[in-house]
Amino acid sequence: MADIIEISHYNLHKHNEVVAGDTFLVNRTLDERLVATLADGMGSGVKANVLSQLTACMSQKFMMANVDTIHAAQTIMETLPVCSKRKVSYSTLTSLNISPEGFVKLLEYDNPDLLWIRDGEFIEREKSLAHITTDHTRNKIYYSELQLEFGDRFVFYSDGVTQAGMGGSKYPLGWREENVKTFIESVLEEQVDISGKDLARRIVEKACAIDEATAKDDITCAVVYFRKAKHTLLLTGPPSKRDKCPYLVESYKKFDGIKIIAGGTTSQIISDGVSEELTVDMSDINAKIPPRARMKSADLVTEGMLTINKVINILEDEDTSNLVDTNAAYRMADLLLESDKIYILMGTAINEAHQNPNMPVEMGLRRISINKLAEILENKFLKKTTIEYV
Amino acid sequence: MSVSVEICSGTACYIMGGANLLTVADELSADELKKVEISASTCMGVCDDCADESPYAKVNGELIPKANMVILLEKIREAIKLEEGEND
Repeated sequence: MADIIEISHYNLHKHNEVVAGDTFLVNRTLDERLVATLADGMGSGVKANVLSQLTACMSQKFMMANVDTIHAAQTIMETLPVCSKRKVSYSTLTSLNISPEGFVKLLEYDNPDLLWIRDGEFIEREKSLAHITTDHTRNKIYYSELQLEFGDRFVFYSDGVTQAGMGGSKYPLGWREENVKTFIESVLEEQVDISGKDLARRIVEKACAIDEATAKDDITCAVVYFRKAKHTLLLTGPPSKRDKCPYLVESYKKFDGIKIIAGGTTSQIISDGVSEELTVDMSDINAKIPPRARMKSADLVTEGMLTINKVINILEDEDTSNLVDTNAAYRMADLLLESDKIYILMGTAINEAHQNPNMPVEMGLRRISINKLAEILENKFLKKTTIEYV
Repeated sequence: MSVSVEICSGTACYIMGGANLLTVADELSADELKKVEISASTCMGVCDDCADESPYAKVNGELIPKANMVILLEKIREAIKLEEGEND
C-alpha cells in the first residue's frame, strides 16, 4: 500500500462562544504539496475569528504560491487590522508547506512549539530566528526546514492546550508542554498506530477535561502523520450489462481494505458472487435512511441513492469532526473520512424503477451524485478518489 | 410455523412507502407478533418490470404490489388465520 501524509485537526470553541477564535486551514496544491495553517486570533469570539481567519487565509495563499516565508510573514503582520483595545494587531501562526516526499518548510509565530515525534520519542530540531518589524511591533518568528520520515508525526496546537487548567490547583500554570508530551507518549504506548484524527481529538478532549469540561479558551490541535494509506472500495449500482457482474465480484474479492456496498441489487450481486448470506438489519429502522444490511466480508452494506445523497449532505453541511452512527449514512460518511484513497466502482445500469415520475429526480442520477461525492471528498477533505464506471 | 413477512427496503420501495411498512411490527399485537417473522430485503428486484407498483412486500411468499400498512396487516392477519385453521 502506498504511503500518505495525513493532516487532521480537532477543535473546541471557548465555552459560550459560537465562533472559533482559532482557525485551521489545509489545502492540497496542484503539484501535490500539502499546506496547512493554524492561527489563533487575539481575544475570543468574532474579533478573534476575523483576525485568525485573515491570518490563516493569507498564510495559506502565500505558502501555496511558494512565496518566501519571511516576506510572507512580514506582509501578514503589516496587513492585520489593529485591535481597538490593545492597539496591536495580532494573531499567532503555525504554517507548514509539505512536499509529497515529506520535505517540510515550517513557520512558527507565537503558537506553542510544534512537536516532532519519531518512534515514540520527541525530536529536537533546529530553528532559525527572524525579526519582523512593523509600525507597531517587533516580532520574533521561527523558520525551520525538516524532513519527515515514514511513521513520523507532528503535533501542534493553540495555547488553549498548553494553558488548559491554568489557575486551578492541579495545573496552576496550565497543562504545559511537558505534560502534553507525557500524555502523547501514553496515548502512543496504548495505540502505536493511532490516526492523526484520533490523536488530535484525544489531546483536545484531555485539555478540555483539564479545563473542568468547559473550555476556557479555543482549543485546537492538529496532527500530521506520515503513514500507510487506508484504502476503501465503494461499490454502487449494478453494471450496465449482466455479463459484467463477475468483474464486479472479482474486484470486490481482490480488494484489500474497507469494503462498502451501496445498493440493493448491487449487494445481491456480490452476495451471490461470494456466496455469503445477506440480511437486512431490522434493528436499524429509522424514518430517514433505509436500514443497513449485514454481509460477512463487507464493512458496510446500505441502500443506494438515498443513502449516498444523505452522505453528500452530511459531508457538505454538517460538523464532521465527531460523527455519531445514527444511521447507515453517518456510518458511511465516517468510513469515507477514515480513508485516504477511495475507489468508487459505479455500475451504470439504468434503474427503471427510479425513472418513475413519482420519484424524486435526483434518485435517477447516480452518476451525478457519485461525481459530487468524489468532488467533496477531494476538495473539502483532501482524499484521493478514483471512479470506475462499469 | 410462523407467517413470514418480507418488506422491500430498496430505494424505490423505500421512497414509495416501504419506510413505513418496515415499522409493521409496531402495528401488530403481542400475540400476533409471536406468530410472524418479519424481515426485509435489500431489493426484491421486481420493480424493474413494473416500477409504478412499488412498494412491494411478501407474506408467506405471496407478492403484494402497491403495499400499504392496511393491506399488509390484512394479508398478515389472513395468513395467521389460515395457518391456525390448518393447525386445528
